[in-house]
Amino acid sequence: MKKTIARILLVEDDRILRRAVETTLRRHGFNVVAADDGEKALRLAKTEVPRLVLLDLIIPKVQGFEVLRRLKQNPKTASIPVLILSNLGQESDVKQAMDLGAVDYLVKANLSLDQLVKKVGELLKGGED
Amino acid sequence: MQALKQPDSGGGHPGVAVARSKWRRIFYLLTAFNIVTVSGALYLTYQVLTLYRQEELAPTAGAIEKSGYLVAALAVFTICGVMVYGYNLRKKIDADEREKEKYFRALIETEGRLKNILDSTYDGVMLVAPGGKIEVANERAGELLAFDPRAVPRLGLADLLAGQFSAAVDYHRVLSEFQALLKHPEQEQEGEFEIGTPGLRTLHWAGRPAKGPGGEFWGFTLTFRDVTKERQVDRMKTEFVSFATHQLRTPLAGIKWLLELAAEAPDLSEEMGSYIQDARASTERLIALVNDLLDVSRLESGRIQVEPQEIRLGELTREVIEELSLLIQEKGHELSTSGGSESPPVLTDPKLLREVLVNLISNAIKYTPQGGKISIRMARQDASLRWEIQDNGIGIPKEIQQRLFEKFVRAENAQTLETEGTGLGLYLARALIERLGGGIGFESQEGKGSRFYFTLPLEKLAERRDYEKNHRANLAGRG
Repeated sequence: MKKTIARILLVEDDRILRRAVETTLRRHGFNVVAADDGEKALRLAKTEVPRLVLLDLIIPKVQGFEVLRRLKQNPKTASIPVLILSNLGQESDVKQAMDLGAVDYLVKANLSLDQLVKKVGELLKGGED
Repeated sequence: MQALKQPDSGGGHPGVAVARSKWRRIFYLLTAFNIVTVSGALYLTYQVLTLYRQEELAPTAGAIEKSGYLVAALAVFTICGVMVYGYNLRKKIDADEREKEKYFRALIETEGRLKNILDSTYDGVMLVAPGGKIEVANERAGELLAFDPRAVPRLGLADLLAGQFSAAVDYHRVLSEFQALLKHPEQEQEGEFEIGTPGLRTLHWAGRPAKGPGGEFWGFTLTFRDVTKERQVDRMKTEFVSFATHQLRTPLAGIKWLLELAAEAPDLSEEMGSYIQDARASTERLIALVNDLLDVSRLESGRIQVEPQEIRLGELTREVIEELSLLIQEKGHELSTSGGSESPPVLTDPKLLREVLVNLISNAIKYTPQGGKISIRMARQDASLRWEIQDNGIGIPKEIQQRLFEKFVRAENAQTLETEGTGLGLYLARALIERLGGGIGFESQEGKGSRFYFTLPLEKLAERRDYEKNHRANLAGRG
């Protein structure tokens, strides 16, 4: 299997969920940097310039929606695809995230790690074209 | 409050008519009596005069005396008669007067009582004439809508709409709703709006036609109820469910993902592997329950948005069957579909309809013993599209059939066969189909099988969009 070392920024405040996603993505050959709050996420997005951001919405310091807004406002980070991984699943939340420029919105509890890896693969492949 | 009046005052009260006919009878009796006495006197005078003429005699003292007695007797008789009748008449008049007074006092008392009852109600109540003139309004109506109910005789609904109602949030929607009510006052209508005097209040209103004793159309009653507190509780409930769902889903996702990682561990014993599989199945069930509860809460609060698209029911059905194919294979069912390609496209929300299809199809699979026969049919039925699924499964016991679409209801035979299931699936299916403007139902015989069906309206694109626009506007009005 050909694997490019793509850097992914994972923003997740729950330690267990962060561990599960980090472990899975690393196993599949991705380079993961993780942030457990909004401030760190914004800082890492600028310094690490990831190929993809996996963003939780309910996070400390700067809320996920605000992180997304600022990422899309900054020309340096605006082109990085942001995949929302949240447990909020109301239409209004989904709509707000999509309006702000997220590529997709997945509800964590309804998602398997297997599906997540597939989705990440698709998004990174799309970015290469 | 304005006096309660009957719009139709032509006939008056029946009691008044009775009193009037009594008077007339007394008048006729008196007249008849006078005619009799006067003609009697005339006849007697004539007799006396004839006597004089026959005898050609000057009136003798005896004759004069005789006729004098006669006239006097006649006069006494007449006077006595008149007095007796006068006395009786007086008595009758008094009785009539007393009766009338009693009747009017009772009427005033009743009206006062009605006014007090009407003024003490929790709801604002108005009676509006077909043209829009407000005939009656109670104090509460004035309080809720900030107007003086004593001004009612000069007030029309249009004045309220132009005045007090202009403070309503989303005024144009409110205006068009009340205009629709004035246009079709014979139809029951209701709605809600928020109004900012004083402090933001949510008012629910209902217009119902009012009819007179003969069934004639009087206009409509308009009731207003302050539902501010109820809406606040609704909002809190929704927010709570949304919060609780998030809080529940986070640890559930943790369990689910770590079990997934554990299942992939290379040196896993078969026994350990099977424990992990069972734990994963339990987690999935728990997640499904949380999702169902969230859906129920959103449906009940009216926050599920419908995004209609033109879809082919046959295609959607095929997709869902594909999704459930593993389950069908496991149970060795034979599943057939018909009518999908011929049926017309329908304008509906594919996401919501898919949930209904998953529910009905997986129920048929689950509640049919190994190697069953399931058939799905689609066909046009008048102005709707009918979808039905027939199985030869365990069926639904008669005693539970009435309550099958209720929340948390599961038939006993279903529980024995399949311990999983939240008792929310059919409740959700019905709520979703109704939200999509259709109807749902079933026929079943225990031990023989069931047939579940739903219909969806084949209406025009524009109508459906209008409906959605109104629904959204209604929700916006509720905040």
